Amino acid sequence: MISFDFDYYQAETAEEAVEKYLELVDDNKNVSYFNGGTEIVTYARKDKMNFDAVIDIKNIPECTVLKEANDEITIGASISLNKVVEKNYFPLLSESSKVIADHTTRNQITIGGNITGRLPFKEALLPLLVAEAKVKTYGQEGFKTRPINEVFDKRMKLAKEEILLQIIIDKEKADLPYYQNRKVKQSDTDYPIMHMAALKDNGEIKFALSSLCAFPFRNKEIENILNDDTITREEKIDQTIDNFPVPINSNLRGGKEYKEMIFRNSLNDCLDQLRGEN
Amino acid sequence: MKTYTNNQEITLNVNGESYNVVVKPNETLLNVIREKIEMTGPKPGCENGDCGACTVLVDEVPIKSCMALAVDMEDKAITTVEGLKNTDIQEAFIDKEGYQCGYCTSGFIVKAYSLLEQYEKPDEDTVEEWLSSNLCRCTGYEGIERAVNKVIENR
Repeated sequence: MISFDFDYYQAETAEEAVEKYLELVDDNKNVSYFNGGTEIVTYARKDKMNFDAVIDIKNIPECTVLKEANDEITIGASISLNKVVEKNYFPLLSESSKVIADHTTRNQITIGGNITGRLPFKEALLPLLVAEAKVKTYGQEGFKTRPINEVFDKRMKLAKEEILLQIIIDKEKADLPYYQNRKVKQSDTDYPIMHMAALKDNGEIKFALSSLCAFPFRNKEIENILNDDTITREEKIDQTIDNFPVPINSNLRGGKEYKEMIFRNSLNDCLDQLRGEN
Repeated sequence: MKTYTNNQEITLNVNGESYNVVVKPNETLLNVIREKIEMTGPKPGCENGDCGACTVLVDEVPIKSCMALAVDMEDKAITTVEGLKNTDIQEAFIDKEGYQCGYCTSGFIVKAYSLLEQYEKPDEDTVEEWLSSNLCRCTGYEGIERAVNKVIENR
C-alpha cells in the first residue's frame, strides 16, 4: 500500500501520453511515467518518491515491439528483462539482463525502466553503450532517434515529458565476441559490486562499466588505453583506473580497495578473453 | 485513455472468478487480493519485491503482487495459491514437507507451479534460477527442493 493518493492514466499512444503529461504539469501536478512499476511502487511505498499522477506507457504499441528485422533488433521500452533474455537476439544483453534482481522480478522490470530509472546500476545499459545502440523517443519535439551514447551521460538525458519508446541495435554488433562479468558480495540477487561489459569490434575493445563508481559509463580514453599495443597489461589496468570519470566509491557492498582489486582481476580476464594477450 | 482516480470500481479475474472491487490507484494487487477479495494465500513479507511470499500469476507469468498496482490488473487472469488446489506441486509440498513455518509456502508453490508448467523436466540450474526469487526465513530449502524434484521425477 502506498501512503499517498495519486491518479493513474493508461495511455494508448505516445502522443496521448505526452499530451496528458503536459496538461497535468500545466496544472502544477507532479507526474511520473509508469512502465513495469517495480521501482516506482517500492520507492513510493517507502515515501522516497512522491507524485500526483502516473501515466502508464506499457500499452503504447511502440513500447511492446520485440523483433529482429532488416539487420536491426528493436526492443520496446516495456519489454521485460526475461523476454529480452528468452529471445536472446543480443547475447551480451541477455547475459547482462539475466543477472539483474531475480527471475520473478525480471518479469516485471522492463528494459526501459532499467535504463531510465533512479537506481544507479542500470546494468542492461552497458551492452547498449558498447553496441552503439540507438534510442527512439517521443516528446514535445516529436519522434527522435539518436545514439544512446549521445543521450546517456551519468543518466538518460531526456526532456521531462519525453518517453523512451524503443532501443535499436545493429544485428552486426549483437553478434560480436563479448565479455561480461558481474560481481556481487554474497547473493546473486543482490545489487552488484561491479558489472563490466565489453565487445570486440574490428579488433578493438569497446568497454562499459557499472556499479564500481557513482554512475555507469563508457569512456573513449579508456578504450584507447585498452587497445594500445605499446603498453603493458599492468600499465593498461593502472591507466584505466586513472581515467575513471569519478573515483571508485566505497559502500556497504565493498570498500574502495576491495572493489579496485575486483576490477583489476576482471579487466585482466576481459583482456585475456578479447585480446588474447598475456 | 483509461483513467483511475480516487475510489473506483474495477473487475479483477482471480482464479477464474470475477470480483468487483472498489480500489484507489495507490493500492497494490497484494493489498486488494488480501483485504478486498479476502484471499490470504499471497503473503505480505518484505513488501519490497525481495521475498516472493506474495507471488501470484498474471496471465500465467509469476509476478510479485506487492510491486503491482491493482488498477493495472483489469482484463488479466490472476492466479493465487488458492487456484492451485490439488495440483501435483501442492501434493508434493505436503508429501516432502516443503514447509516449516509455512509463511513462504504459498509463494514457493505458485513459483514452482509456473516453472513446472513451462518446463517438462527443468534442469537443476533452471530450478535454482526460478526458485531463488523466493526466500524461506526458516531456511527450509531442502524440503522445497525435494518437492519440486518429486514432481519432475514422476513425469
